[in-house]
Amino acid sequence: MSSDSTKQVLRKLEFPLCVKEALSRIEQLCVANIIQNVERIQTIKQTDLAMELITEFVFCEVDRRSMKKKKLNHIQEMQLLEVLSDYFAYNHNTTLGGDAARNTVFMSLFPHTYVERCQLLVKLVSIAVCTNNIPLLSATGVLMQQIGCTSKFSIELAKGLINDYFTLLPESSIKLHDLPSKAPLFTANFLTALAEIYFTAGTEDNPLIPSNSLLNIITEWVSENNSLCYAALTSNLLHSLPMGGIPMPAITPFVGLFKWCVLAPLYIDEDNVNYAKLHLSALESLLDSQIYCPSASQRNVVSAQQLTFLVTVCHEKIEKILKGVEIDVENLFPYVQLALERLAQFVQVALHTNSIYGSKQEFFNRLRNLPKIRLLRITMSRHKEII
Amino acid sequence: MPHFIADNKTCEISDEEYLVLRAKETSDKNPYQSKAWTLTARTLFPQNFDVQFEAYLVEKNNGNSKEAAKFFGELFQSFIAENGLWNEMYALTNALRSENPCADDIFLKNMFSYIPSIIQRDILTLTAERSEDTMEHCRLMLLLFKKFPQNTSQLIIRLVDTLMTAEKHSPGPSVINCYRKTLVCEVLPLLLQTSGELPPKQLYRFLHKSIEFYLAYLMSKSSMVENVLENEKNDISWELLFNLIKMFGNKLDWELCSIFIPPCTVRMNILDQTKAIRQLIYCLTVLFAYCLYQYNIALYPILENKHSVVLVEAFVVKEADEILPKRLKIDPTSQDSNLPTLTGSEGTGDIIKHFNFALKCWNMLNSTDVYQKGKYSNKFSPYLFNGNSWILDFITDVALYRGKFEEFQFNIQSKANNIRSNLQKLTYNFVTKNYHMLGECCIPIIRQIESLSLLGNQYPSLTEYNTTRHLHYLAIMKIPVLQYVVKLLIIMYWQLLPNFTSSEIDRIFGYVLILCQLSWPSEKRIVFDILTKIRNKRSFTCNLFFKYVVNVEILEEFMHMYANEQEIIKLDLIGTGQSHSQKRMFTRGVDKEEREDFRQLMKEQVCRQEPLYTLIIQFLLEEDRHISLK
Repeated sequence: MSSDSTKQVLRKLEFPLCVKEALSRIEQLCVANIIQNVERIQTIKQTDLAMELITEFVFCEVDRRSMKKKKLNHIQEMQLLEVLSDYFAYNHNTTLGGDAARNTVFMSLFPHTYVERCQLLVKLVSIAVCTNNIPLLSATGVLMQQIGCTSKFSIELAKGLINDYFTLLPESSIKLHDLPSKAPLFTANFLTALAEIYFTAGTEDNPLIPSNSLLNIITEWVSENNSLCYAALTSNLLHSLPMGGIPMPAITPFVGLFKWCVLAPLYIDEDNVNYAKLHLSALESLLDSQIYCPSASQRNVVSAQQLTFLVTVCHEKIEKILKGVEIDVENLFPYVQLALERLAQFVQVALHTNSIYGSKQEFFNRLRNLPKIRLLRITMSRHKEII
Repeated sequence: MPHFIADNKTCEISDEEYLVLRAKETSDKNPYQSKAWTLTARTLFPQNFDVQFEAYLVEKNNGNSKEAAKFFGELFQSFIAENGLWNEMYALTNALRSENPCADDIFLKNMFSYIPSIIQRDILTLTAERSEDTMEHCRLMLLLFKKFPQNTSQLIIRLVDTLMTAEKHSPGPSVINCYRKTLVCEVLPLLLQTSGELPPKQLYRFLHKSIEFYLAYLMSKSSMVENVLENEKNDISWELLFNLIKMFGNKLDWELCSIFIPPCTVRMNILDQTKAIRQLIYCLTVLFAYCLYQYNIALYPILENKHSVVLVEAFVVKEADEILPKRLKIDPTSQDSNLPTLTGSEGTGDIIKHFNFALKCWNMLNSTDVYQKGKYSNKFSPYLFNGNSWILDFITDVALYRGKFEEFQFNIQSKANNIRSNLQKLTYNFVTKNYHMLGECCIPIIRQIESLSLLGNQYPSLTEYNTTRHLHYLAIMKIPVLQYVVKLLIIMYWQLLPNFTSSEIDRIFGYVLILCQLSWPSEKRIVFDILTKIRNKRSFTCNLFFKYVVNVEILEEFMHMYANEQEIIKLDLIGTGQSHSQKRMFTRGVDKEEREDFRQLMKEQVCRQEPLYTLIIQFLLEEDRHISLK
């Protein structure tokens, strides 16, 4: 069927029926791309058609003359979300192509270049968490990983989920509690994005700090699901991607989470036991790195680059605090000492488990410049042959 | 103002100590922080015991049994030489055995359950091997066997040897010691359950040790036994012994095994048929000891409100010649009809059954067949016979039962002056027809009756018909004892009647009349005999009459005698001790007033309310000097 006749058929359908029909056409196009050995030109043509169908018939962003249409009203948006949810909840696996087809459709629907569609994705994922729509959550996890968990798109998605949805749920919600076991990849990537946001976004003196309820649920996730932080590393996406797709390197939430725990004492006055708990859970999880990533060459758990950045941020903040104060390294402010001790504990366990990857030289340089608290000295002397 | 951490004091300590210190410092305030320290320390110094042990302690202090178990298992595998670990191991094994665990013990018990079972096993084995105290070693080994019953039989045999050696070297010859108790009550049952074939010689040796211990324990009443096994739960019982013998019996293919399934007495007859002398002796010894024990419990109940019991000679009436029983030659193998009849007062329970059963075992043990071949029986006799009053009580009663009165007398003569032995002396004199001794024997008993707290009831009839002899288990309570004593006094007076002078005879008639009231109407015939005798001699003086005679029928007879035969019989029923103003009453030549008085006195007697037994006891106590005829 030619592209024009496809559009002709779809144009005769009312909204939201046209969405449903369009989705199945798009899927057919994607499946054809995956399983048929078609020529490249043909492939590009089909991809273009899929994109056109998405724009005109799924999101209804343009009309038949490719002119911008006014946005869908709330009711229409609801109907659209419903059709999309149902499509991912029920259609996958029954059609040819399985995960790959589903993910291809999903990634075509929400390419990272379309930040505008992110708002809709936030709502879609919120509904997915709520309705236990595991296929949709898995697709979101794959999408985040492919475009990068710390990319603008993923960050926006994570922020949107927190603001629109998580803050509205009670802390003890069973749905949130079970999320790591039901959708580990999504939870892990979501966690990585979240960890990136807090203590980074906001101003330098007044960074964004996670709410206690968010902190609690995350601590619970990490402490009760030892493998959670490794989900992105251990999931094999090779067969879940569109034709010719290459799995992108995974980022674990470790550095981000440790960043919270290290920086928290420097920004938060009161002694917050939640950070101690999260810190411990993250350490315990990191200690198991050899279990989840047995091969040393693939143990890309803690990025040296990210770690260097964390040490730098931490050091700068401490220098700011200690500016003009004559102080001996053995008699630091307790909260500074706590921050440095947490950092040192993290570094020690990371070195011990051989979990740091990438070029470490810069990291070691930075580390040597930090105030030499005793634990740091012990750690560095322990690993002096590499530092 | 921010606070500064005084780090000065930590300068001199080693890195390892510093890390442990930091973990300890924070453990109360912030357990997460503390755990983060121990976790880091463990990665820094995996070979340092203190660091690894601190990680365990932090979990222990936080009550995380699962995590603590993980660390404990690691410690056990890497630091077995450390004293600190051993202290914890002892605490752990103590907790496992504790019957009243404290909070710490409960934690350790819980923790133990999370330790992988291979390590559990090693922990128990190693702790047991290291303990210098034999008992400690045994308890740990037993714990090990209970938790890991597989493939333990070799270890159990080793433990058996250890215990037997320990017993050999322990002070004191008594078989009641903690080693023997553990061996017999805990280790041997386990061995019999778990092991396969064992050489019979060894089994007999163990069996012997077991019986020795149980008999010594169960057959001794002294508190000495309790003291030796202090702090132990004393759950030693006959049932346990029976079970153990059953287990031995199964191993030894004993045909007599089933006798120990309670109630043992039911299958008694299988003993008669067996040819297996060896097992017969073991079984008989235990059964005899058991019956002896039961018999003794029945004789001297330990429960409060329970009376003791004594076997006495009771009374027989033969239809043909209604006189007192003739002693018969007793042959133990003779038919039941020639054996004495046994009866028991109310509340004597199964005593007759126990006696018969014990006697049967006793006869078998002493039969020539068993006795000659039974080179084993004498090994246990010390526990049955030595320093044991139980066997003495039993053979005393057997002597009475078999009519071996000299042996009976020999056994009771040395006994203390208590109501029980006094009753036995009384019964001896009665059965050997020393009638003139009966009164003397009764006096101490009468005085002792008062001190008995339980009242009891009269036994319907102490007299049996158509039997050679009649033995009765008399409940030592006020009324049953009184009933027996009164009956014997009546017999004494009756038997000795021809010996009394005419001046004494009225007093004796009075006594008999008074005594006959107790078991009325069983002595009615004697009363009518007396009335006939009074009529024949035409006079009767009794100054105790109005004090003690209250029986309506007797009163009516005398009333009748007074009213209708006053012309012939001279009746004097008013005590001489009465006040002077009262006139002596004669039936002859009295005035109407006096007759009215007599009627009035009779009426008053009928109306008296006090219980008969108190009246009789009062009579016996007040007249004790006269009733003994001495």
